[in-house]
Amino acid sequence: METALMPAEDANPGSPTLALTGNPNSGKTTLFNALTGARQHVGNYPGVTVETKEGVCNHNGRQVRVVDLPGTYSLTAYSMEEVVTRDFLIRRRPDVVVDVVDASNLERNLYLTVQLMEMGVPLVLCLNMVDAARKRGIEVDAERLSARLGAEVIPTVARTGKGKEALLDAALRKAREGAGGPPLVISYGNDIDEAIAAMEALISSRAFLAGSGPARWIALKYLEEDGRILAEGDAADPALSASLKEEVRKVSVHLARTLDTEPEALISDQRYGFIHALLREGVVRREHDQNRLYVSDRIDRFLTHRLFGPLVMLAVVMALYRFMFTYSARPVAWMEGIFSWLGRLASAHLPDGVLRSLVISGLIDGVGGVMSFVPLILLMFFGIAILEDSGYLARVAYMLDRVFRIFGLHGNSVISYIVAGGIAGGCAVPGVLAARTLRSPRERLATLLTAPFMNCGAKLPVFALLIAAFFAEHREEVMFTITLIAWTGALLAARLFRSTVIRGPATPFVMELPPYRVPTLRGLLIHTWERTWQYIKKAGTVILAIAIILWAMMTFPALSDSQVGRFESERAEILASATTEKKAELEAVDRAQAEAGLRNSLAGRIGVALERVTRWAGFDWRTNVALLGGFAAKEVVVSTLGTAYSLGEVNPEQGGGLAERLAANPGWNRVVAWSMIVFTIFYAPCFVAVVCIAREAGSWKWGAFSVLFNTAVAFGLAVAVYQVGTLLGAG
Amino acid sequence: MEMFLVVLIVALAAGWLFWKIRRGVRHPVCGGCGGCTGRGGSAKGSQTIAAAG
Repeated sequence: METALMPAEDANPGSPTLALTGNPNSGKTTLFNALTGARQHVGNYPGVTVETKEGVCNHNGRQVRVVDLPGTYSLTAYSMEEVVTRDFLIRRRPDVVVDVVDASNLERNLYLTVQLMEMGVPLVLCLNMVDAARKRGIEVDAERLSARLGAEVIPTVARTGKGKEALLDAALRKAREGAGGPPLVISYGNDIDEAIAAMEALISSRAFLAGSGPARWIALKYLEEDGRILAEGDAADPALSASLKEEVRKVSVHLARTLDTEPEALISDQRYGFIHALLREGVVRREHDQNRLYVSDRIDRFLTHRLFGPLVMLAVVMALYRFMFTYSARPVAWMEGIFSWLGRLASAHLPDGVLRSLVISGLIDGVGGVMSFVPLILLMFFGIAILEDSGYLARVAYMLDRVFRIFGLHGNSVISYIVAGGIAGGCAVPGVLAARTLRSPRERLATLLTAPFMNCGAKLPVFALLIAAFFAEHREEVMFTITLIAWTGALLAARLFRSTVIRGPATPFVMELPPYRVPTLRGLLIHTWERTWQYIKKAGTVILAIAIILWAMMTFPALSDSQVGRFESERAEILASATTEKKAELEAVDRAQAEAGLRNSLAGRIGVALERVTRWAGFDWRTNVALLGGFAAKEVVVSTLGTAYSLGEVNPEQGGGLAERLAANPGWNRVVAWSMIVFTIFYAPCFVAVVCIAREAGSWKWGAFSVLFNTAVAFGLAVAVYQVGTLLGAG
Repeated sequence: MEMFLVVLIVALAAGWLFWKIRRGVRHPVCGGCGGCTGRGGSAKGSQTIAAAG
């Protein structure tokens, strides 16, 4: 948890210090004069105050030191005013900061407010010149703004002194609390958030520039290339400062390549996006300015409309799935053809034995099964990159925020869900890490535990395989239904957690709405390739290693000599008999021997032992082995099924694709497929995700809970699906 | 010879996976760059996180 800037220890407890900040020309000096009775020069132009001025006022018998800081637009050390203001806030640490904002120009003025909140200073917002704003037809709902911002907002007219008593009351209340709230956390998009998380970890671990502000704020200043913070960092710990600069360089290069922008511009965009969203939903009502809507606003009026917005969202997701399945069908078949050819090649050149079995059944059929789905994954990532780079994904999050509150989750949880695979194809690990932006530990825990229910990129090949085998006529409809099942399950589980084990109040939230952008083809291709490459790399490393080990577990121990001898004597009997169906009978013996070998192996024995329980869900021992492998990584489900059905074949190199093998197997049907889909959605997160959940939740107890709870729920649902489906004769 | 080769391949895969899992448990966030513990390590590991799950 970030620590806010605490008041300086040497502050006089009897006479709290109140610092006035605000944009130039927001009426700070007028307010200073109204509070202290001083006669400082006030001009109707920006930048009148260039140095700090101090005065004293009495309020309810209590003396308050009031400091008027120079007017600034931001807290990045570009100008002397900004340096003076920031240094005062960091070094002198006032008991309360009153940020004076012009009610007529809220959007621009709140930019500084947001930065103050990111610093974690104890803040009260002075909504000044409300009379002038009203004359211009602008009405600000101070209460609603306060609730959404998480800080007290007091309307004032500094010129007449109206509201100054209420302002001093609020300021002294805040000063008595002794510290600011937790610093505001804004999401700056995946790329920058990841960089901030890495930098924050480095900064926190060494208490780097601890006196200058919260770790996240220091990381932001590095990303904004703030000269003073960089100089302070270089002096304090040159090696760490260099590491932080390297992180900044990496993300800068990445942003320049993908979005043709730089971190500072993106940070500024997102801050304005945050403010923009903050002022929606009736916080500001304009009587005369209806025609001044920005292009993004005009688009949003339709795309985030209460009725049309969700319909458009569902249509977009459906269109994405149609696009993915339609255009990936042929390349996936090509990939399967390539691996089938490789199998035949290996069969022709390797002598019969365990090495050939390892190469064909373990490597080619195992890893090949995962690699065949690369075109599908690539198209999915391309579609998601379009949604993300255009800014539409942020709107999806914005619309879902309303739904999330009903289920006891926070608006930021939407980001976690989407990153974890809300529209199929994400990853639970960054999804779990994205929950760091949640301030409430309870909402964070509920998000951590439910985000892995989303359909990550690793589950996608499992669904694609089952869809190809059993639902080829309704591919996108089934994928869409799978998405709905995952979301419904996750939200209901969250509601259950928030009503039982992690009960607690909800915290206010504002979703950032960055402006729409036209995605660049280069950016889309880079984003798509980066994610697809991670998938390919994982298939070639982790999945490959697991496939080899699972092949060994499915091959050894081999059948004993007496067992092999029994099959040999059966063959000899067939050859000696006068029957004309010799070939078919010999193949039946070969098949029986292959199956007996697989059942006799270590993995086979485990699978068979589990079958007593799992048959309630329709899973045979081969499926059990595949699902067990999925604890390591979900792609392993497909690779293990590939190996298991290959080892069970008489001529594995001549078999068709895995989907065809499953469709032809009498143990499989549509009900079993649905049961397996439901189990795959909900069962234990992969190993890496469990480690992350445990670390992020601060206890292995929660990691274990996610494994046990998810698997129990998944099994219960799979049994229900299988039993009801079988009763209805849907198989 | 064939059996030796198979055992070697399986042992290498198991050893590498064990090392990968151990590193993943120690550095779940950074995957080995040391960012999550401040202890340092292999910078290459930071990419693991995106590939996981």
